[in-house]
Amino acid sequence: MLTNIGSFQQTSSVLKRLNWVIILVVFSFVIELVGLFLSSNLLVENFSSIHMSNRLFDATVTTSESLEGAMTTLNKASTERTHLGDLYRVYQANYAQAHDSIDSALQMSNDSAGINNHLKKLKEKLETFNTSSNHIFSQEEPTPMYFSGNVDLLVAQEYKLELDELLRKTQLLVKEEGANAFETVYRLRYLPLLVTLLITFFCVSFTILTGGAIIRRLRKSVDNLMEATKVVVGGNLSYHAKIIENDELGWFTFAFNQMIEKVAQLYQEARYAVQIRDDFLSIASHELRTPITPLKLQIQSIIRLVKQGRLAQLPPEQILKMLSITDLQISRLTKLTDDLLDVTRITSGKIDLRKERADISKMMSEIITKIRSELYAQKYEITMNLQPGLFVEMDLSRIEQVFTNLLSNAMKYGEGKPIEVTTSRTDPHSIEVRVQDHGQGIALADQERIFGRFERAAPSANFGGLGLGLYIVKQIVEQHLGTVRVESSLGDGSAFIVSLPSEMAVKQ
Amino acid sequence: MIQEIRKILIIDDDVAIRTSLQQILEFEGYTALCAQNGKEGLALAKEHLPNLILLDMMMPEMNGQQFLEVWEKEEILSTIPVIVLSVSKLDGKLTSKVKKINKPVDLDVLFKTISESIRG
Repeated sequence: MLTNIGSFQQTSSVLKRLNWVIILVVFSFVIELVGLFLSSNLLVENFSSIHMSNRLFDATVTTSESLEGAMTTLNKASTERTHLGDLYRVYQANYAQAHDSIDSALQMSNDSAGINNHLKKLKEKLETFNTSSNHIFSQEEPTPMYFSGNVDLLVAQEYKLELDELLRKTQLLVKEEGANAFETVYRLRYLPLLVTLLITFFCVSFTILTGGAIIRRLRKSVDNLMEATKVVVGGNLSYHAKIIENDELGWFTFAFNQMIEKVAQLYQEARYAVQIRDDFLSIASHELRTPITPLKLQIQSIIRLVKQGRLAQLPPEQILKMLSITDLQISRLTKLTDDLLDVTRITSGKIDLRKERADISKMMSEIITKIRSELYAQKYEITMNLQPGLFVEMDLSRIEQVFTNLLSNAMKYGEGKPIEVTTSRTDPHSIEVRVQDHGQGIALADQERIFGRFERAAPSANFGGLGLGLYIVKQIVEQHLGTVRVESSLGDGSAFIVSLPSEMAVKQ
Repeated sequence: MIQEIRKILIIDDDVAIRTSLQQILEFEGYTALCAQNGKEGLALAKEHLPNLILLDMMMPEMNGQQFLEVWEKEEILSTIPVIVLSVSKLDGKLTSKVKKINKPVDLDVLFKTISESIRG
């Protein structure tokens, strides 16, 4: 049985899985960038450490030179005692330079506690040195050499020595730090490359593994679908492809199965239609040939009698009988060809209705009069229950064809039991004509089918005809916007009920 | 001269064919019996033992094929020659006892085959 395409539950997605691969690649790239940045940053920090050490060292050198300058000025001042103002300015400049250098070095060395401490001590010492040195310039007269001599100068020299010692220690520290930083840089020179390679390796491996797994799963589904296609192309329409995964390809497989089911069903229907047509053609050729046999027999018989000069000896009733058989066969042929022509016209929609208002009960009684001899020949009793004044807009010849067909069916299948024809108004907008027989009846299973083209409930070997009658009836009635239905059960006879639109006459 | 009345049994479901054949055969001096189907035909054949059977193939109740199957087995019947009148081709073999004429029947062919069958 066909199931709806909607019944397929898609629980996974090929496209989403592929998206994950892309996300994985992008994520790997980001991780790689972060790793590269962090490892490079380590090197850059150490490089700036080296740079800082250099600048610190330069600052200590400047401090040392300025101190030397200041000391020279102090010597000059204390020995010569002239131009004190100028010398003081020179001293001041040298001191300021030394002081600034230490300040800037202090700022630079915030990260290194050891160097910073040394510099702080250096700064204190320098300021003490300056206080004592200022004494040298503040004295009006030079102190006698033997007495205090240049006590201040001696003090200053002492300080200078201490300062030099401190500077040397600081420089050593700075150099050590610089060397350490350089060593670190040297040691870590391959780190960024290593980090990048490592992360790349892991990411690429992971991506290949994940992607490979996805491709393997996809391949399984695709191969399965391709195999199914091959089998179906090979002509096996009953093949059912296995659904491997409930993803898009699973959906395709599901839809593919449904498609094949549909194709198989259509193929069966087409085969059935061809079978029906073939059956019809063989029935039609048999039916068309059947009247030709007596026709030919009769005509050849007459020719034979004429040739033998025996025709004149025959009684007129005998000749009349022969001719009427001939005439009847021509009518049979005409009816068959008319039916075939009607079906062709109906199928191609070429039936033109020439409608006029007429009394259906009157028409029924006329039809029955026309076929009365036939009814009599087949020993049928007919009961009419016709309500007068039922006017219908209809094509007279077509509607007559409808009831002639229904009545001839009733005679064909009625097994000689009475036939009843009833006309009645069912509601203000429609009337009904009922043709009831008491023959073999029609099984419920066949009641729909008999209105189809080339269809019949009874096997064609038992009853003549093309099986077109009810099809034509239904088409004509429907063209009159009416309906035809059958009420029947096996052994109980059948009633064919034609309902046609008819407006109730308004009383004047 | 001994006038032997030859009896021919016509088995066909079509009333026009039956009537026509009966009338034509009677013109020729045969006695014609009519049956609507194989079953009726079988009963008439056993009762009257005709000289010849004209048999249609497609019939209700008992068709020509089924009739031939019974005819073959019954000793009294199998001596009676049969001419099959059919539009369809005959399943099973044709023998000297079973001949076939295609419908629509040509009268000359029919008479020729009838006299051949009765004599043979």
